[in-house]
Amino acid sequence: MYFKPSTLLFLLISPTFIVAEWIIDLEYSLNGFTNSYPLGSIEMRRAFDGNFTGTFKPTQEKSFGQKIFDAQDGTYSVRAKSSTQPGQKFLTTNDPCLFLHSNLFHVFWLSISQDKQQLHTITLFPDTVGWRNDEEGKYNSLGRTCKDRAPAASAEAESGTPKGVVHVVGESTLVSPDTASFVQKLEREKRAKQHGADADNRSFLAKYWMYIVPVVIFAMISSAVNPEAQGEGQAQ
Amino acid sequence: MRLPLLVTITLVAAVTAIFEDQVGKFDWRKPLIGCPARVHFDKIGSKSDRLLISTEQSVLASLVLNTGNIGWRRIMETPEEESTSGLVFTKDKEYIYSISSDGRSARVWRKQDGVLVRQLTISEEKSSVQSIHVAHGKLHVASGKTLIVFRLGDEKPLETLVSKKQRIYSEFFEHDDTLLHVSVFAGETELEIVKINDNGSFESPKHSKLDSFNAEKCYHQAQYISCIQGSQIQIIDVFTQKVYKFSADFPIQSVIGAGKLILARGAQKVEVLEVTPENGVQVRKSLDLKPSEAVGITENHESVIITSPDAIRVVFVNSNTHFSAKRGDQTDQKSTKIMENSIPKTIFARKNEKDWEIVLVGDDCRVEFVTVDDTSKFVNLEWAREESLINTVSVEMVDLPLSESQQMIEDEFEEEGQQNIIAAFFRRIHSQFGQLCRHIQRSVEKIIYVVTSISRDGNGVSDFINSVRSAGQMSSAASGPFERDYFNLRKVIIVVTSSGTVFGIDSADGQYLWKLWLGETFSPLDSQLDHKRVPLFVQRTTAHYQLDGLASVVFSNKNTHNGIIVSFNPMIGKVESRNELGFPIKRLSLLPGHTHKHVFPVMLIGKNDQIKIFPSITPEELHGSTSSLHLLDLQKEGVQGLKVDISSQNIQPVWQGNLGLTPDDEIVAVKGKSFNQKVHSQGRVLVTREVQYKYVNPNLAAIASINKANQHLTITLVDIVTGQVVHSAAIGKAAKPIHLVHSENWIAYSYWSDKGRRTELGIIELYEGTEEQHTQKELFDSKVGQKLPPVVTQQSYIYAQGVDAMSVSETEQGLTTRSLLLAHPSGNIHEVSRRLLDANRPMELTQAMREEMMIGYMPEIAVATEEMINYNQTVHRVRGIKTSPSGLESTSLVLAYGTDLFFTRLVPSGTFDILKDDFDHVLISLVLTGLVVGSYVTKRLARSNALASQWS
Repeated sequence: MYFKPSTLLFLLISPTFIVAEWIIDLEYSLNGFTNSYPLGSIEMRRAFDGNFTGTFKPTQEKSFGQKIFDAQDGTYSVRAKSSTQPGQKFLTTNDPCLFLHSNLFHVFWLSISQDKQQLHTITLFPDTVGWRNDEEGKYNSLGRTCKDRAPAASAEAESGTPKGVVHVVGESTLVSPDTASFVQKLEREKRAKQHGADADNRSFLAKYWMYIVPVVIFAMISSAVNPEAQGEGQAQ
Repeated sequence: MRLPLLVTITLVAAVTAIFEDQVGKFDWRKPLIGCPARVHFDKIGSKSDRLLISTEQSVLASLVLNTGNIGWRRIMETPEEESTSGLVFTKDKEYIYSISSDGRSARVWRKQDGVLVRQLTISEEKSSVQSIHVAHGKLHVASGKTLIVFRLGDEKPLETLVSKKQRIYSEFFEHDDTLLHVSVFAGETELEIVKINDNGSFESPKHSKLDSFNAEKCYHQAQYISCIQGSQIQIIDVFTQKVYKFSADFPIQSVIGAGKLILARGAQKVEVLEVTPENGVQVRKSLDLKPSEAVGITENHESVIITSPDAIRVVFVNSNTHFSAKRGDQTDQKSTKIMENSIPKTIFARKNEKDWEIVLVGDDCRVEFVTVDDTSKFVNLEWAREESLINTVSVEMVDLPLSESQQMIEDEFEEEGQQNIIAAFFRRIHSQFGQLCRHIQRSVEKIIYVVTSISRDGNGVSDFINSVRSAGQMSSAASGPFERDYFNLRKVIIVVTSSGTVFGIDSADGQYLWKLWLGETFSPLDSQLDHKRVPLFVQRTTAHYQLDGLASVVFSNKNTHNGIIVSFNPMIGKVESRNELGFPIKRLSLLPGHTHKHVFPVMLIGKNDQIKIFPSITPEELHGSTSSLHLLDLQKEGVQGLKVDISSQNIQPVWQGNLGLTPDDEIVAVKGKSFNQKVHSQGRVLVTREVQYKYVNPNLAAIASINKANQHLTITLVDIVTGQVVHSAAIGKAAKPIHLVHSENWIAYSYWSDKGRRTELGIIELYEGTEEQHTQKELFDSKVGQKLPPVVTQQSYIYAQGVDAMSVSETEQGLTTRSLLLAHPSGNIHEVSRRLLDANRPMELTQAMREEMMIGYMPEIAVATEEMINYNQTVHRVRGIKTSPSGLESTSLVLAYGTDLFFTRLVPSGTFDILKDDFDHVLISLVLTGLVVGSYVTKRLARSNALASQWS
């Protein structure tokens, strides 16, 4: 069988689009895991540059919003299981109240190791994009009850399903002292000086007008004052 | 192009340097030697008596016997294993011979001035079993497997003997011109005795069998080795190889000896033994004593010295007489200073022509030199040194209480609103009258001082000016230690040591105000990162003038391992309470809320998650924001965030995860931010006139870990409340020492780069972005999260020096540009401005940037001598630097601790809010009045002149 090179390339790339590299299963509880329900899963995919992106696939649970509403002053905990790290537990908690205000929009903040394809921590935030602009900054996690924090949670949240985006933070590198570009910069300056590209080609007056003008003004003033003095002298 | 840049840098540098006349004005240094392990009385030259001391902190020092000052001091390498035996050394008339660098080399020092004359190599192997002896013009050294002889003044060994096995005991003995080396090999109970001939050659070894041998329970005296076995003591005469046995009717704790006498000490009794070849062991004397008493024997006289905390007893061995003298400071009777000392641990004594000279070393490393004679009733304390400060682990600086006039002002506003206008008016009049009285009193004092000093010193103009000047200074120094000065520059420094002492030190001159001894059962807490930890908390500052300040130290009981918390008044050192918990402490924290008595309670969490709060706090006193506390629980396997509910006292995990650490990884540093740190400016103005807002997250912790296998240094920034990893970055080819500083919105770190073979300094800055991305908000909420991840800018610089400790300056409002303080192994403390260690230094400077006084990027941070805050006052082996704000925004107070203590004031941006201290008020006002008077006089003269000329 004969493949065109382009087909081969397509076949090689396509798995990265179709098959997720690894899957993180999520389950949530509103009473400290006495009862827990599936929340959905996050599929991790590697992009061309080697960085990972995650997609949240929620379960279509209709009563999710109602459950959150009922437990608005409790704790919303999410437990995660990563397919690459069997046995490891990941936990994150937040206030259900904040999610009522964000229309059940979640932000999953994942910190991962790209090389080892491992999850480090998962953190759950309400998506502030879902907040109305005039309400911005009004909500916070202080206050004893949900009603203290903001007067009314949006009604549509009560009958919604979870929605969310995933933000992935990988390990970046710390920089080393940048000696190379500094040396380059010095050489560039040296070269510029040698070529005289930077030399000042302006005329004498253009260059030193700021020194000449005061002298001229001074001369003018003194000549304006002196004739009178001389005149007085002549008069005596 | 580079010239303006260089000029800018030198300008920045110039403001940090101090003038010659400022030396010692606001700084002081306490050179320390450490806890003495071996003490020798010595005479140098014909007159000056010295003490030669080697200490547990591997310092060799010579103290002047009359004053207790350090004649000279040499700081050696710290041994790999912690030992309390000190450096092994011996001396002859002119030189001191010591073994250093873990038994690999011998050093010869000149006694007079401590100059290193010679260094001799012994072996390549490290060993802690060492002995050294100098005799017959030869130096004999034994270390580990090696036995080696040098001719004095020669660097090549005369004879070397390397045994096959490791030694566990080694000692030289000399008697009647015969020199022996006695050693025991590992796993054997046989003494190997080697005779060393006059020409340095070794004779074939003889062996002497023992029942058992335990190097830790054997002591050596003139010609004997005595080993304790319960209540029995085995004494071996190494010259005749005879073994004598003696049984006491009590368990023997320790054995000391001098000459022929051997003292066997039990808890309640001490037996003075003498060994003679004819009669064997004989009891010369038997003395009763208390467990708190220490026993010593004089080097050159047959007398036993017994010291209790309040008296010294001298007992003559060969007669039935004894005398005792009371201890206690006759001189300090009138002052009510609290000075708690521990019981003496070891005694070094010798008999003079007239009296006994005794050096007492306490459990608290206090070195006291006392003299007694048989006629005096009191012990004469010549000097004392507090050497436990070398083990400083925690430092806090506490403000002095408000002065009387400041209190009056506070009083006036205290009950405002409750009184009517007339009462308030009278109160104001009353307080201002009080201020006036006080001012008059002060002025009268000053005038009296000036008058007396003029009558004493003469009556020239310069004398007058000088006395007026010194009167101004007098008022600040002599007004008693417990009053805040105008700029709050003077504080009480509380220093806690791992030896179990707490000191209150006056920051003005380094005097001890008080001292606490935490007891014999003191033991520091263990911690994951540094081995010893004695946390100190300031629970109530002196800001509430009706209430005294309160501070607490937490440590554990040596025997039960339970936690102990001792609360005391930081001004006078009076212990308020001492509580022992029923459990060992796992972690502890200061609560952010305070009780109605303004005390911030300390929360202690036990190994099984028991919670205890000192002092207890009621739920009403807890505000909504402080009802729970979040803690970071960092383990190699995983990391979790714990939420401690203070009212219900339960701990539950709120997040769990890992930092991706492998067994090869080691967590080197974890740095959070103190909850009272102030960030003055929320943003940074860019050249484009945009504002970049700082990401100031109070819950952020920076964690540095290093992988030993692949040398990766990882820095992870974690929000403790939610577990959000804000940023994580790694660099390869890094090695220890690693230091981390976390402040405001930035993290500075230093590490050894194996790639560049140099130390590098890095900086990470976090920003929320420019105005569009930033939402104005009143408080930071970790749980809500940011719309966008913080913008991370980072930069790294070459640093031409090693770093021992790293810290950052702290000022009142956080307005002054911060400076980093880096302690070098060479003993300098270098101040690096944040303007230089900046992640945003541009590579290419544009005209606009130059106008903003930005400094272009240069890969190296220059180390200039004028930036050393300790100028030529070397501060050795700095372990930590504590900074504290003063009342002046420009000034930060700094205490560096290690082998030395060094205190100074730091002005990171120059003294912009205060006149220079050499600003001459007196001269200026004199000149000014002179001018005014002169102008009046000349005016009159001119007028009369003009009149006269018109008449003429």
